[in-house]
Amino acid sequence: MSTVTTEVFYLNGRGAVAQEPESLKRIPGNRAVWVGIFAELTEFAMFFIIYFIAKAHYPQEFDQGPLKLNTLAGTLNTVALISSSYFVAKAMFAIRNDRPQASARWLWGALLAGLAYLAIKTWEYQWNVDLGIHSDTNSFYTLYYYMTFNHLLHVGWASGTLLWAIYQIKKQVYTAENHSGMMAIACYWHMVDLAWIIIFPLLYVLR
Amino acid sequence: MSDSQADKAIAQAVNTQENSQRKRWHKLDLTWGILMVVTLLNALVAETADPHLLITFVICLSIAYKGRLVIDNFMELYNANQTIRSFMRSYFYVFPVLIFLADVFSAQIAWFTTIS
Repeated sequence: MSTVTTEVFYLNGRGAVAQEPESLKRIPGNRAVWVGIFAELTEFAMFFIIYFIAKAHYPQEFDQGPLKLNTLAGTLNTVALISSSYFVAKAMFAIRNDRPQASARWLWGALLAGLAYLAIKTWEYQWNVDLGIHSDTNSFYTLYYYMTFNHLLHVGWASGTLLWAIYQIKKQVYTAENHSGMMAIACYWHMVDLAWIIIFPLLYVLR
Repeated sequence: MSDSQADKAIAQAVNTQENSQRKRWHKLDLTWGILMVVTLLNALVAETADPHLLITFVICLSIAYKGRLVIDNFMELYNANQTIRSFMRSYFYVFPVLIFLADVFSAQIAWFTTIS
């Protein structure tokens, strides 16, 4: 009599996989990155609450403010960040299926999208300066610069972690059997995207 | 279990795995497509619509929906640890609601936060 055995999950990148998702009922990546993610989201939550209060006190500034901003730049940045999140998700899919080369290529795509974000943001700040919009112009622009520059810093160092993940794949540290560190990096990157999903409508769309 | 039954079971397991992988491709691609469309609609609203409570409501819905898509599909929290999933999802319930309420009760917020 023969027996059939199938290995079921990668549990956060430890073990052998036959089905998705690896993180079934588990903490994706590791606990430490989630402490970081919740700390960052709390920081952004404080910004959003300050935005509500400032908007209530200076409604005219918050009504006129978004009209002068470069909506195209904001939209392109949203496209870049969402696409980069998609590329990272694809990279996770590839590494699980033992395709490290493809995974690294998707991560390069995500990194390029992150760099595109930084380039667009630089262009946008230059555009603002040309229009005479500075961080001390009024309360709206103070918050605008505070939120977007803070977010830009997050994109900057999260891009560094993507570069690290590519390096680890090349060194065969992240493999189909072991990629919990890469999952942690992916979760952090998605958090940066999530913060922008709220920032974009607050600053560019809602009046 | 006979050999032929074992072969069938293995073939079925492989099929299930392949189907699951294919679905995952579709799910990720579809998620990206939807997020793009919603983002472009948001941009259209920013360029054309005048401020209105209904517009704020629709934008808040779009924030909640986009957040949920990223959390469930890109971040893969759909089947993950329940505490983390609940916290992440609730962030994208609470803030859209707060954005809407802040618009509705702006006078009260200003009064409440004024230091006299």
